[in-house]
Amino acid sequence: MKKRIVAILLCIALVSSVFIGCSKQSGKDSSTGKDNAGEVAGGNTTSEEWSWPLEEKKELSFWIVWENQYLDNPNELKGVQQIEENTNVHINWNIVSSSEAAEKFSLMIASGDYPDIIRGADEFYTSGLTKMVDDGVSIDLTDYIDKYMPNYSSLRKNNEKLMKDTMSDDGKIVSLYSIASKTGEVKGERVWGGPSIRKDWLDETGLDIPVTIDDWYEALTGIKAKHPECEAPLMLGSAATNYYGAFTSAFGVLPEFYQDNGVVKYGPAEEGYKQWVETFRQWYGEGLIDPNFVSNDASFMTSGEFIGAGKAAAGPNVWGMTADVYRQMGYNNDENYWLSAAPYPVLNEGDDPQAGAPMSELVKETLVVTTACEDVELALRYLDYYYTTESMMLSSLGIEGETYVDNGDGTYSITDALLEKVADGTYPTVSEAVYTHSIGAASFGLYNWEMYDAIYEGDKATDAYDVWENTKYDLVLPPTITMTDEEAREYASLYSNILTLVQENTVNFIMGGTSMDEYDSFVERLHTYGIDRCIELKQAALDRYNARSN
Amino acid sequence: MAKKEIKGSVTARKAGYIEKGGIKALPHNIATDFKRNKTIYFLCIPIVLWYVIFCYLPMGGLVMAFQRYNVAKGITGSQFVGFDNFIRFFTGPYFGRVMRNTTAIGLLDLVLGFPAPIIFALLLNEVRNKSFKKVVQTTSYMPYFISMVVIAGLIKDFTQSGGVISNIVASITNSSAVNLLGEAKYFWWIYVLSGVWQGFGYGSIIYMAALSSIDEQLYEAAVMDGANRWKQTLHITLPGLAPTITILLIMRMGSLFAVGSDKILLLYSPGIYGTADVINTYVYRAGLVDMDYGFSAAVGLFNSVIGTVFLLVTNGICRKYSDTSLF
Repeated sequence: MKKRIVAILLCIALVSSVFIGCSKQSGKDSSTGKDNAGEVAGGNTTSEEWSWPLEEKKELSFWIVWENQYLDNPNELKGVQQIEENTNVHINWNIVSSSEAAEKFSLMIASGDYPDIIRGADEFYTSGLTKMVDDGVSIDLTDYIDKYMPNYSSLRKNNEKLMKDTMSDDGKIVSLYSIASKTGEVKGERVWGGPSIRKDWLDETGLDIPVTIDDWYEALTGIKAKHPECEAPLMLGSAATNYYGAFTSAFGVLPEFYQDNGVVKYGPAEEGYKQWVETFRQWYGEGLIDPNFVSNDASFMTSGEFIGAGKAAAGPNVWGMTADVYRQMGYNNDENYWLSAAPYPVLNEGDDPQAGAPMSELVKETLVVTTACEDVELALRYLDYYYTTESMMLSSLGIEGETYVDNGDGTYSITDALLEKVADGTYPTVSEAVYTHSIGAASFGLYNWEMYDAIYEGDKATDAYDVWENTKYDLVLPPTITMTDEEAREYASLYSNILTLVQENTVNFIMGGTSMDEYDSFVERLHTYGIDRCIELKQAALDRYNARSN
Repeated sequence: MAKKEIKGSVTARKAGYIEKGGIKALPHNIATDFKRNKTIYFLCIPIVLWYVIFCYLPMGGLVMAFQRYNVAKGITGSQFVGFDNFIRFFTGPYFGRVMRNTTAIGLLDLVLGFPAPIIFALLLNEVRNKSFKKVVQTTSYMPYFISMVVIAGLIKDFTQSGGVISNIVASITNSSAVNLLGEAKYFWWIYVLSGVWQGFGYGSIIYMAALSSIDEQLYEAAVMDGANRWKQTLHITLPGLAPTITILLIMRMGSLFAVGSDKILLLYSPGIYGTADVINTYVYRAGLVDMDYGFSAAVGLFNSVIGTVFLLVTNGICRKYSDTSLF
């Protein structure tokens, strides 16, 4: 159980992405904020000259979902302490754990007692951030961005996609977004999750890493023949798909809504989904798929108890979960044990592999400033500081010289002192050691995904990036498309039933409980349950997104 | 309400009260009663407050069931939508199915889960070896105190293909071991039987207490009259337990439809929605797409109304055919 928890934590740490500071160019002297907003901000005297640190200590309150098993409060992190020193702004953190976040959020909103800044409100305020402004919870930032946030607005202005992603359908700015960067250069993250397979077993069968669906069939049958003890050759999520849409994407569809050159479609209503179901039905019948997939639920990543301990041969995973990690966790002590990433499957050799999850988006978690904030300028100026390179480094790798060193060639390494602490067992992994210094995965502002290159230096972990490198995102709908409150309500009342119908039937088709002859009547039911209306609503949202402009 | 009537029946005969005065005499009677029993009224203030604050005041929140509830605006500012939420629930394509599953699981749980602690208590009562009795009693309580998450983990492990229970079922039905939780037809049984296993020991405590209050002399007299063990159970023990059983049955009927979602959420999977999806899990999933408090409040209200009807009907039947009833 403990191993499992560690694995989950690690996974969360790896995946839930981290943000930070600002582009190298604009970060020359980021502590003064490079006040190019001065020109814009004409009317406001205080905003013309803003320099950190403030002469007098000021305070802001901040609602955040944050968990760290070593520390109780982000203010104990040295990275955060350094930021406080640089700005002279003290943050009173309102910390909630992820398991109770939704409930605590609702209570906070219902009480009317808001903090100054809320991170991740989009996840919990389901009627949307525009509605949140209309409801008088958060404030419209449209007029403030240019004035108070020089770093943020210069990042936006230099990237058209970023511009679109960070505004609402009606051209307003209702929230700030964490922006993905490769140490300051605005860039979507590399593909961090996808299929993985036991390379050592594959080698025994003499097969290469599978590329096409047929290769996968061969590989799984081959492994099963050599290792009858492997009870679940391919692991899956409880709805038979996985988070990354890896296998359905080979058939040109995704498990839910996707786009086909700007046209929204719903996977299960399409022919490709039926072909995928038929393929998996055959695989399941031949024992190539985990017989317990409905309860094992490897949607996001395959549990170490299976892939680590030889009960499974393949399954979805994230790049950090390498053979070494599983060995470290004690699932396996076989020297030959080797887990390798496999490219997203395709139908025919030469097809472009497609991922079904928006992993490489430029924007991530949101930040809103609430109506309770008395000093909006201070809040925005403070948040703008997080879009500088300086703060990016403090929130990702921590303190230079203490947690990391600059190699001078654009790469960074973890200090020996910190590595020793991992070696002597103070911290189980390097990433956890780093997270005791920087806010890491729960950060905001400019996010530096390249921090993991330093954390996993010399490790095989980042190899997976190269394997998944060529994956495309053509099918994925942009995550920042939004519906109006009315649309969302209509959509929700239709879609919850559709989802039930789809998941139940998909699983039963694959497990053989329902005859494939029923497939057409299943699709028919999709239409009677209102899938066409749902597609219409999604399409409208997508069209509005595509039409966004300043 | 119940409290007052009971109190009334005990003290009504005393002087100073206006008997058969109807509603007009009520203020006078209450005032008299208050004067006489000041300390008792004083003592019950905390519990009355508790009910008012935690049970009656929140009922105002039921307004949510008729609203498109908006957390930021609260129940005073949210948009009123009439019976929309109810219509959405009743006309949903899965309404019939979740009702059937909820009823089936609730009834099965009642039929198997209600008598189990009684039978267990009766059996234990016959055990004469004190230390053996204590050991059995303590071990049988244990599962009740294990967290539901752990219980669900155990159930999952045992019923997977290759799991202990799965293998036993396979050898009985003479088939190959499958993942029982993946088969819709087994779900009700897995859910109910594991619930019985977890709860029967703890549930028997109250019956054990009731048993110990039965007068020993009755048994001695029965032995004199030549009653054997079985006859003693039938004519002394069971009648002695009857009031406890009745009260617990009435209370249980009230929650017949409130099949909890937590255990099912931990056990079910899309493939077995056909038998495992109950009202509460259905609402939970609907809420995942859009946190709709109005909708869940509507379903909650529906659940409560059904529960109240069941409770009242059972209570009525019990009052008519036996001496014991809640009110």
